[in-house]
Amino acid sequence: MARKILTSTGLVALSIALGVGSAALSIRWVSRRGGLQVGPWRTSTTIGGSDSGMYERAAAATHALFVLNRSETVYYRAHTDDGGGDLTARCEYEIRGRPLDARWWSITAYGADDFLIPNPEKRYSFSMANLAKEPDGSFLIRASARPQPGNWLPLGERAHLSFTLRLYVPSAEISAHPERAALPSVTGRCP
Amino acid sequence: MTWPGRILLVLGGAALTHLVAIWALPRIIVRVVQRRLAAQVGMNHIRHAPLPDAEWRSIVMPSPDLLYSACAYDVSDRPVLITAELPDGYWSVSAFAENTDNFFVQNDRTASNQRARVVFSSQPHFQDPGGGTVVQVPSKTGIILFRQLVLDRTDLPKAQAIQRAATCAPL
Repeated sequence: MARKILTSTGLVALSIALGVGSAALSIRWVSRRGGLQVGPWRTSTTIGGSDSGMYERAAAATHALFVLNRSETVYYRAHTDDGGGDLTARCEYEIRGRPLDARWWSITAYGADDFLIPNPEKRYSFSMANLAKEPDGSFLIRASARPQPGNWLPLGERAHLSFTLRLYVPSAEISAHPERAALPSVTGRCP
Repeated sequence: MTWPGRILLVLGGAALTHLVAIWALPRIIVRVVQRRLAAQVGMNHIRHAPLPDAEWRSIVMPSPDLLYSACAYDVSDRPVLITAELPDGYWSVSAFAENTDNFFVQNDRTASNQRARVVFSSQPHFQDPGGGTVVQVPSKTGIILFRQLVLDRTDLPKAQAIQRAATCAPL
């Protein structure tokens, strides 16, 4: 009798562990690999909206809570560089691009915990308002743990990180077809 | 029970747990945020946050360029009214249902006047005597979030004065 109870308890515990574990893996996959891809950037056309699915809602709740729908804001997120390597503070990155077609846009670095990265400069992002532009109108952001000239985005000591590109009140074209936007490149140089 | 039967039972239980976890997680997280806000300022009251920095732990992925204010709404008994002064730059008020869906957003350019006035109600044909925008909520509880862009840190005191002028209260 005791053996039967023990076996049943073990089977229930195994069911719950498998269910919760697979749910966590699914959420991680959707948040990192789901949606449309533009170079290293990924975005979703349904996140935040009432037409999003249950996996997207779960991913948004854990990694991007209270995101606005795409008519108001389009969010692109990069967990890798152009070559597919995971973003890490051990490497240095050059983010190159041209101004984006939105009322306001910014690029922010986040740690693996999805919060801002501590750094003595207290600089967490660059936006269209405070970026120093190149003579041809393009921009270059250098993201690294070590100080850099120009637009330096400090990465602190965090092992894993991500970049988020926000486009507030994007153009109708980007809102309708976020996969067609000309987004910045992310080039990594690792020791 | 035979071993194939046990394996099927475990897989069935795992699938059910998986679906329940995925469905429930957004609702649990919104409920936690609501309770945290209610404990700080009460339901249907606004909480103003400082500009996010590396110490910020309220909500994941904060924008360091935005001043946030939040209100946990509950329209079970009465509609909820929000008002705000509009700054020169980007500003928005958005509302999120108990499952995280963003069902309403109004920014400084889509608001009809220099001062925003929005009523959230569960009643389908509610009329605001103050002439504000009326929004029928998909869930009786949820979160209302204010965002205000701060382009220049020297503008922060002025931006915070506008932020603190925003209200959220039962109508």
